[in-house]
Amino acid sequence: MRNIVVSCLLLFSLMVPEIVLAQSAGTMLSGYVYDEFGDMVNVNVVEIDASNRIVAQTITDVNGNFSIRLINPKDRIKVAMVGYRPAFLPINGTSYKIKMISATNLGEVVVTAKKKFESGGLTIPQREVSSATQSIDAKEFEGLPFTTIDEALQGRIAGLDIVANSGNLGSGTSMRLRGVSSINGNSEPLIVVDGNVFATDESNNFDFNNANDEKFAQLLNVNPEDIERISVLKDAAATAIWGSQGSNGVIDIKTKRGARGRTKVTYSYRTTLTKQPLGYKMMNGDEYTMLMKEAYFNTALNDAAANIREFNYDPTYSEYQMYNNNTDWQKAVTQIGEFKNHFVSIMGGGERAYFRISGGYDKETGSVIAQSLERFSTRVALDYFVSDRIKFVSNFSMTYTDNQKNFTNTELTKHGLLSIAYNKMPNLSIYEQDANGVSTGEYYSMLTSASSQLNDQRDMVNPVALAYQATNRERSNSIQPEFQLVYNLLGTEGDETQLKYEGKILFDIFNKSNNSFYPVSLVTSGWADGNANSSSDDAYKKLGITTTHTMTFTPHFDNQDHSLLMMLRGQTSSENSSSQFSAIHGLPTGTVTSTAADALIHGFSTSAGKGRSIYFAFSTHYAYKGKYMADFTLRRDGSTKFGPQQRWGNFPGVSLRWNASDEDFLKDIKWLSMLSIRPGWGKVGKQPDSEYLYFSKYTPDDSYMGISSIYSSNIRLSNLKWESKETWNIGFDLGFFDDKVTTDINLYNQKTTDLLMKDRAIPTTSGYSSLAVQNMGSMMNNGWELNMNGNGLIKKGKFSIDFNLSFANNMNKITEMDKTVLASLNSKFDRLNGSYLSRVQLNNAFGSIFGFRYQNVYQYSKYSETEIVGVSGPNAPVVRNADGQVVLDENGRIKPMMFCYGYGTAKPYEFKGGDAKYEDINHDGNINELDIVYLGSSLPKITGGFGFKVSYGRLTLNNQFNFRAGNKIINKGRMNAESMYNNNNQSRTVNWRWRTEGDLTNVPRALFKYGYNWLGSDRFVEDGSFMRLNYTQLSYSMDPKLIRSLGLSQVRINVSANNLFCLTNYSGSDPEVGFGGYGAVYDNSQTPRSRSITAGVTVAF
Amino acid sequence: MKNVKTIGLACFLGLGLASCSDFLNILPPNDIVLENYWTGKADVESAVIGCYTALEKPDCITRMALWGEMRSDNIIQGMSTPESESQTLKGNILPSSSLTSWTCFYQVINRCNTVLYYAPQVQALDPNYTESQLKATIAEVTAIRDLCYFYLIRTFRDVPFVTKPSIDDNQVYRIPASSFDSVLTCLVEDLELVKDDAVNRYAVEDQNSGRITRTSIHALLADMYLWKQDYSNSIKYCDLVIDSKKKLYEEEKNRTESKIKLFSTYPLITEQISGSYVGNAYTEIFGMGHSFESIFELSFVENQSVKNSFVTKYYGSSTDVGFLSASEFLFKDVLTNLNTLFKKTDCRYLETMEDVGGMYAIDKYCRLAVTFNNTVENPVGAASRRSTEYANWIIYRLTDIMLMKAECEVARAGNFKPDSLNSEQLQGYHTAFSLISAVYNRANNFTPTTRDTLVFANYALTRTAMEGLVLKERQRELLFEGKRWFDLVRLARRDGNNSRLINYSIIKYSDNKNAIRLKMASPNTLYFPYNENELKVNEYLHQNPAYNTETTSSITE
Repeated sequence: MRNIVVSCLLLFSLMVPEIVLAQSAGTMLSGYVYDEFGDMVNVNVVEIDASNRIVAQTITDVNGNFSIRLINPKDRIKVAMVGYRPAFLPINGTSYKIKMISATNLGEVVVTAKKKFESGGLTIPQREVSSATQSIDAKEFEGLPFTTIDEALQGRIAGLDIVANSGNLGSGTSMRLRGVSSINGNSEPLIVVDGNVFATDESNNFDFNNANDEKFAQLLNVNPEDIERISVLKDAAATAIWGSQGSNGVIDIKTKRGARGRTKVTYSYRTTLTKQPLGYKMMNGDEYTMLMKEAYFNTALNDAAANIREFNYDPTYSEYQMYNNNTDWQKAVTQIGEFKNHFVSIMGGGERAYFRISGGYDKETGSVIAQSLERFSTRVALDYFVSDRIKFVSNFSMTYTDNQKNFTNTELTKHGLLSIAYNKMPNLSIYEQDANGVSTGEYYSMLTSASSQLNDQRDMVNPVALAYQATNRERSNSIQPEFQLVYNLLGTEGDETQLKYEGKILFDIFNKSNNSFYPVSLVTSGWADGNANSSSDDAYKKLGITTTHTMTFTPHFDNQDHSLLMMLRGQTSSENSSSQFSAIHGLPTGTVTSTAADALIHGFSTSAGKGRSIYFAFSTHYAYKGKYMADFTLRRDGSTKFGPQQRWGNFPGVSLRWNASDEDFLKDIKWLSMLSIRPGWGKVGKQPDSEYLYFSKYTPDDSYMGISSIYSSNIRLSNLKWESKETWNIGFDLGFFDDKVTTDINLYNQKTTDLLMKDRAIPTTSGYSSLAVQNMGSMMNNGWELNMNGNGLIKKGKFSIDFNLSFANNMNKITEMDKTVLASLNSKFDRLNGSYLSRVQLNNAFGSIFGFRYQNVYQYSKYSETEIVGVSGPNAPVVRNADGQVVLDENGRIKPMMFCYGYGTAKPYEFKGGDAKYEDINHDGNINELDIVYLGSSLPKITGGFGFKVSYGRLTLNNQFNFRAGNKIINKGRMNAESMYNNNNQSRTVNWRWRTEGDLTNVPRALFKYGYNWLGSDRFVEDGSFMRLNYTQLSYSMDPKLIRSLGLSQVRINVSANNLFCLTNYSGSDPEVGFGGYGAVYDNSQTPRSRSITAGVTVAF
Repeated sequence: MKNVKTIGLACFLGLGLASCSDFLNILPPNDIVLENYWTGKADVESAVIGCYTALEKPDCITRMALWGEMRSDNIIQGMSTPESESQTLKGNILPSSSLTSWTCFYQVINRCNTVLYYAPQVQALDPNYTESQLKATIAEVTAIRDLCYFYLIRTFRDVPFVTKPSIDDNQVYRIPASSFDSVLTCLVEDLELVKDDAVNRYAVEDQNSGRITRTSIHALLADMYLWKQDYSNSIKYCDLVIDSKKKLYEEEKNRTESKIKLFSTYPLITEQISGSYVGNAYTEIFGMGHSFESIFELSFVENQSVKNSFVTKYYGSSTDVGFLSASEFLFKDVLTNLNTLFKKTDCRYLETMEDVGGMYAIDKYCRLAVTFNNTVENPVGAASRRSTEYANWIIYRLTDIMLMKAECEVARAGNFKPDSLNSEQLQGYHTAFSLISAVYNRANNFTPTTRDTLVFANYALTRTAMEGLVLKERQRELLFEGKRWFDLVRLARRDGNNSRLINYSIIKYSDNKNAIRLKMASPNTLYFPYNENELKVNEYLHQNPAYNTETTSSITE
């Protein structure tokens, strides 16, 4: 009945069009809403304007009727109810009847979406990307026990070489994209999170070559669970948009955001056990004391010298019980570490807003004792659609890290607990023992009355006591709120010309503090020492503000063959930082460790930093028929690091792409789904690391006769220019079998000119020894990369296999450099044990190692043509000519082999039986700098990784390997463990040392602080090639049908193992040691990467 | 249409940013920069003091002392001597040795050049900074700079001569060395120009010896003319210095009960304290510092942050020999009555050395005061040691100038035969002798019981004998003050050969004597090699040929 009335009214209104036109503001509209079951109650009825903003609102009553006062006759009425498709009505009457249709009864909907690529600039379809880039979906890392995402990237990105700094907690990694292209500046790639540059260096004057492992750990501030996708931009055409910041390549991280749909809660828990791999087997106390007595005897050749009571096992010695042990110091300082991680995320979204909130909590204890790390991180992402035209975005992230590290702040402790454990004498006990050898539980430190020959051992802190008694705590807090407004100025639909404005402001707040305390009990020299009960406090805070304005223009062409995108962006950023440091010693008691307490102040400093930058960028992308693409990018950077003349740098990039596979002549080849060629060119620049270089600074100096003084402390750098890197890249994309297998290959040539070189030595007649930075010479990097992915390559029923593979090779060389620079970079042979020469030579690669050639050990001291067992033999230190004949002097006597004869008037060293034998390259009977030869390069010939994933139904096995090959490492750890030169403990290898005449061995005799048995030679240069099973993971998702009854949507269980094995010939505990600069790579046996096993569960509601 | 306006607005905002180049102009928050400096008198004063601060850096003092003395017969190796020093003492000077580094002196020179460059600009800005003050600044700073060059040429012979401050990276820094003579001529000309502008007396008493005065410039000129072998001019400036001290003595003598007495006509501090206790001259000159006799010394007054660590590390104490020790003949030969240099009557050997278990520690500067009783047969000095490193470092003092004059008089008089002695020559020898006697008598004639005086007739027979006397007295008086090696080099330059220098300096070597003799025969060996790091960065610098023999390491691949 009522329906008829309404229909009549509707009919009436249609028949009287004048009235329709008379609709005006203030008119009451009314209507009825129903569905197939009848009246609908509480349905939202709103009036929306042209940009979909709500201007008036009401709901239907119990009968399904509504009325609303019209605001603007040009608006529309929208009727919406959860579970129904919304209805839009133009305002053409005063009365409406609306039938709602259920949204669940949809027929099949086909959604076609092109995979898009976005990094810093335009969002373009993956098939049209013309620069060298590679992306990884973070889904691939789900459930793996990584604390930072860089660990997960190892071996995945072709050309990105990642090396873990050490196994210490929070120590981070060091990365090189396409080799080292800078002489001594920062070579780490830029990290970008959601379009914002992630600051990796916190201080302006940070020296990357000598960085310790703590410095790059700030990636800790991004929780891997929050990451959606990682893209790596490799060539200059891609990084040009990042200008000078991106000169080492860019790693672009995109975090997860909310999406429209049901609210989804996910919880995951992981627990990991970690263990140190075994390093060198060190000697026990008995073997050690025997070695030491031998070493002291061999040097002085008398028994008295070897009579050291700590080695004598003399029960009458008061400390006898402390020196008669077999302590395994390594075991004492290592343990099984634990890692626990909880992570919760809530995401969802409705018509007006999307959101995602996540929070994670980690707690980690190290595989070396007394290390622990706690981290809390949270991230909130909110997208609010004010209307179709206006969107407001707010992101907030916070990370708090509390890292309790081992104390490493003094000279004696700086190499860490493990290093002390390797060196400490093993006959010494950890704890003080009573007369019966029973431990009292007190840590034992050698007494000041110990034999003076063992002073170095005495000063070496008891590592166990150090771990538990000294503290070193680092806390950092990073907060990044971001606000963004997006405004579509023109069309909003895909078929309209669009112009989008995006304004963004980001605050970057970072605070860090370090507190350390070193108790008097660890100081042998007592209270007089400046480290006794010393405490230091270090605080740093930073506030950075970045504002960005971006305009994106997407014209719509009637001819669909053309597509064009353009972007213009301007950004300013400013940063203020300040730091303070205070240190005191002589605190009366260890219970108070605050630097505010009353004690002797020995250090106090504050400093402030300020930096600003500005840039403009223009980027455009054009595609014709999706087959021919062209990109152009130009960025103009301004920096406060240069003087007014050199302040601005322009960085262009051009790249093209031809999708040959879309051409008609290739279209018929069914198995080839993609074939494209991508040539590109670009130029990026680099700034120096320090600010204010172009100022001539005046620094106060000491006073003279009570009057204060000042002096000019530097030469200002008015001529300093941007380092510029020009890259040619040619890339190929291949896709087979409908992109089941995709491959991309890149060949590149990078030429870096005006290399920024720090501390360039100049004649000191200028009053200065160096210029802080100068543009010096140029360098070339050539290389290729291959990356291959197979998705569902083999698929049979429930069974499928995915794989990935990447290879890369890079060669670098210096092509141009002032000879005075080369001369000052190159060290001279210092005639000391253990030192290698590093040289930078024109047209040679960096990282070359030079040293002697080791030829085992002289068997006899005395020479005789045929061996007289135990007395003399041909293998003795005599001079031989090129034919191997023994050389005689004018009196017919054999000439002995000498070390650096003729150097000054110092007494030359004559080699003896049992000494290391070095090849006398020029046969002059003298081992000196002329016998030094090239021993290899520290740079790997090839790096990469591969992995495969096997799935069977809901069970997945995921394995990832990475490798490096062809690089040489100077194993300094082994050198120290086999040198037999000082009181440090040695590895068991030296049990095979030369002891008496006639011994045939490759380990020389023990000599205490004497001889030349461990000169820099190929004995300690080892091949660093390795292949590591980075991780292996088994995961299982439960059947959704089974768990639905529990209200769960997903349950995933996984077990994984990290670093399970490493195939290598390298004798050290881990062949993965850092990159050298222009010098060689040394393995100082830092804490190796630990082995771990993880179990985790993920539950989603 | 509205949209177009919005676009326009956005573009305007974008351009607005572009014009903000000022945005990039920021000043360092932690530093004073050139742009804000050199605005007033106080800025100049602080920068001038900066020159002195640089001059008294440990590196500088170490080199002043070691370059001037360590190759001479006075010094041998002490305990835990650093490698560079130890090699040098063995007669083995290497271009890699840190002692060949001249950086610290050029730092002083650059600071001086900076003041000389900017001070005139300040005078134009600040009316309080008068013309005469500017001139005084220029004179003071020029003298400091020229003193540095004087040390450099005496050590290296030819050195790069820089007179412009290093401000900008586009200046030319690689420059060749200028010859000894041309540098010395420049220095003398420089100082002649400014000598009358310098401050005559400072208001603060100690600054009269702690900073450059007119008298110290005269002393510097006297020394330079002596090296130029321009003896008349040298004597002229020596007289100016001596006269100024005489005048000062006249002024002072009535005011205080002075320890200063006239030795012949020269006012010197007496050794006598009271009765038979002596050691006063040492205490006043080296212990307290800024004494009446001082002309220019580097001040390390108490509570100053900078300390004279050179003296503490290199010189010794009653229990420890420092890095260096005194040659045996200096001390031991006195006790055994060999009297090679000192006689028992001489206080100076007791004040400046002592026996530390068979080695002889150098005590000069290290002791704050010395007193000993001269009535006993073998007196032992009761010394109070300095607990901290506050010893001043003396560059010129009155007796040095007196003996310079004596050296000039002998050299000017020239050679003579006893029978053909003209009155002018005789006058020169007498003047020289009276100067030497005054210095000698001060140290020897402190009590009536033991008295020793030099006798003119013993030395006036030959020039060699007179020269020998001057040298010996200089050695005795200026022992361990960084003078002896330079005295010998000057002698060799005058002789035109090294034989006398070798005879003097070879005494201390125990082995390798012949090799060292041979090595030292070439005139080039009188000078140090350039540091290898310097040669690496400056291709215009050519190594002293005496050190060019070392094979450069070549690397085969």
